[in-house]
Amino acid sequence: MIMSSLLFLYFFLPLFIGLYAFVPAKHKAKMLILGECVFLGWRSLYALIPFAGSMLLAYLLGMTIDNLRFKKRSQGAVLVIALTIELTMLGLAVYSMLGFKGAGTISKLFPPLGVFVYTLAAMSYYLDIYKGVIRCDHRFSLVAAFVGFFPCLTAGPLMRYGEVSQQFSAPQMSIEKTNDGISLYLKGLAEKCIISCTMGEMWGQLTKIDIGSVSAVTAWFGVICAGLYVYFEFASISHMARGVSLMLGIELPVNFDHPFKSVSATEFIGKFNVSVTSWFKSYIYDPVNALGGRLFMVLGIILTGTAMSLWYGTSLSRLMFGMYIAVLCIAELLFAGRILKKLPYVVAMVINMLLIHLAMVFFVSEDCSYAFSFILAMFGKNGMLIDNLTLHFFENYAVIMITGLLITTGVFDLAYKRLGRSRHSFIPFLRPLWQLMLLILSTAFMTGRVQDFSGLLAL
Amino acid sequence: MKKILDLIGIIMFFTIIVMFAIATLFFHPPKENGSKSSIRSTSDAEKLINEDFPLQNSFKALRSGLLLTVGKTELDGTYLIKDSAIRPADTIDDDEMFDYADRINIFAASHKDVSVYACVLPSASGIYSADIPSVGSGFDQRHFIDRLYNSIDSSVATLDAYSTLYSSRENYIFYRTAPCITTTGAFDVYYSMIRKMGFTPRPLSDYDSEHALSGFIGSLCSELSIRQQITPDNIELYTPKNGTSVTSAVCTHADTQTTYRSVFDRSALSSEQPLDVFLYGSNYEKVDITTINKDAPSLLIIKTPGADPVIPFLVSHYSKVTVIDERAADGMTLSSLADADSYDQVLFMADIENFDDTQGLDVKEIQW
Repeated sequence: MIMSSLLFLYFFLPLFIGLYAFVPAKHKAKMLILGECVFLGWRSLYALIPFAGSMLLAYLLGMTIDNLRFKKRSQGAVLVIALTIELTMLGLAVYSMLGFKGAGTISKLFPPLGVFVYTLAAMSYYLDIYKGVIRCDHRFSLVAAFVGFFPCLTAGPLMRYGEVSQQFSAPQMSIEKTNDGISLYLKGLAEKCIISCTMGEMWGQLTKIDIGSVSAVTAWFGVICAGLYVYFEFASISHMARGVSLMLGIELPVNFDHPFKSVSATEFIGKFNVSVTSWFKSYIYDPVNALGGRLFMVLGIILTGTAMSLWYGTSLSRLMFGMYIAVLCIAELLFAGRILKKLPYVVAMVINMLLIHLAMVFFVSEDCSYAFSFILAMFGKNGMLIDNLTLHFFENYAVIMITGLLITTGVFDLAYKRLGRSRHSFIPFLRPLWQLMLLILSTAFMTGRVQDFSGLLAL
Repeated sequence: MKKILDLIGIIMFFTIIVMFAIATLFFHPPKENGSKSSIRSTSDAEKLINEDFPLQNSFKALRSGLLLTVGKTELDGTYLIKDSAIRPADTIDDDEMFDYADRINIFAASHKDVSVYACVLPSASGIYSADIPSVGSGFDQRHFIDRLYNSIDSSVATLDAYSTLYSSRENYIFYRTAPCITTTGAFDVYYSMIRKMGFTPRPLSDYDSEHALSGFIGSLCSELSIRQQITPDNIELYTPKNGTSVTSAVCTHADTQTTYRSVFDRSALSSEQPLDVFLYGSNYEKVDITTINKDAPSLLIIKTPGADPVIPFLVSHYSKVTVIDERAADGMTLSSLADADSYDQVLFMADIENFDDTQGLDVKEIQW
């Protein structure tokens, strides 16, 4: 099941929230587990086997790691076993996505939906216990609800048990939170159905053209499209997940903090899918960097970039995306950061956005050679400034692109805050109408045609 | 105050989604064919929900309207050009093309006494390809038809409809809202092809033009619920001024025969498929048309649905015309429908839009 579907919005959500609201607080975690199983099992019942296994292992091995906290060697051994199991699951999921021989059965067990989230949730649980950040939880339902928390199963946000355990044990549902959750969910849904899908459609059209005949301006349109596509693809899922969580009384931190306003690559990755970046930083970069010296810092960044790019996808172009961002970060930390700081804010932001958008071309391209050719086309390699497609893309997508840019750069949020700050603000009164409009528009885009909502995640 | 507004928001949201869910489950309109959908998997259930969701046309119209307002000229693969909707035809693979050519060649080889003709009608996206952005112009239909004709044996006369339609491209030769040739376009095709078939064409002045249906919105626009930027179509019927030559049209479907006195099914004009007015659509495997021209030759036509508007013009030159619809005759053999040797001429007529239907008659079972 995906959150941007009629099934989820009109059937699963009201039914689940209705039941969840009336279940006593002590049973809410069990209710969450039920919801998680329906959410994941809807696609494939087989997927519930490793899912349940991961939950059970998190509970058992989490306790074992905690119990062995005074026997570091044994504790380390159990941690290695636990991590190996989870990584094996991830490996099998990657194997099935690559479509190798015999991947059919594995793909039933490990469909792309969920496995890249619940394995990481379980691993963070093990590692945090090992590091002594948290103690294990003896309530199976809480651990299981955390590992497979369904709003986050699509593509995060990734949670840390220490940060949310209180909320899982005693979710605080309230009118305010529920309404905020509805707004956030509808915002994400509209972003996904209207902007992300339209940008995906534009990118799809661009890739149909022989790359050797793409003019420079068309390629520049394409690169903006790529950036918006990637941003809205993940931000929309994150907003929907946070919205549904809020309806359930669980507040997740902001996951996208206007990354396109960043003036450096390091700032960008710290604001783009924050929870995912933070996860990889905590468990890969920080331990390697802690070894000391520039060499380990560089190694840590490269390893983190590699792991993150594999999390986002299994293609070589996604790996290239990760490497490219890693190189930018290394350059900034070693020397370029000082230069960027001296530049005016707007200049630094424009330079940074250009560099980041080049990375986005790798993210959305199916292969590296296409991405390289596309980037060369941007800089006039094909010898054409504009062609007849430039007008076509401008005419068809300019309004949606500008809307997307205003959202990503925070102009809309700023206006909303300014208008809401006034004592006699009319904004609160408009909110129900805004919600109604988003609901109707999103439904129109979901029913309007059979469209591919899987997007970049290929769910 | 904020709490009250929040409460209003929550009640409104959940009331609306629950109402729509209930309407989807219990108040959906009955299926067109009256069948009940069976649910065997979760994907079936999801598909059913999408199909039965209420107010679909209103939501589609809202989406299309919004996208057109923000400047879109392409909706789900359909391009809005001038005041017409054009959907690029799907690419036809070489296997399909050579298969069709082989069928005609095998037929011609085993029926040497019969004059065999082949005609492929391009679609609007082929004629107006220059107006469609290159991301959606589909494949080169001119090139495709040339390759197909080159694969057909020289004993078969090929009829060039593409050039005819291309030279008439400024006229109203395709419906603006449906992927089909108009009566005007069909007349142009008839006018050029009948000469090659050995007859003198009847001029347009021999026909009365009848506005059979005004304000027709075809499938291209109704699927997208587009009402803006599109001029609705008119369905015109050309009938000979000196009276029709048709004495009967016997339509056969699954051993049941129905006799009509016209090649036009006027009852279709008030149905959901007004274009079925020509030759009764694809509802019959075979239509046997007899005319008052008893001494004229006979013609067997094996066609796809898009060729229907052309056939009424051909009829007046023959004593008997048998039309076999490849879509309706799916899986049947030609010999079970007609004795090809008893005809003077055989015309294979396919249109690019429905080229898939040329696989209708099972090649392996055809007893050419």
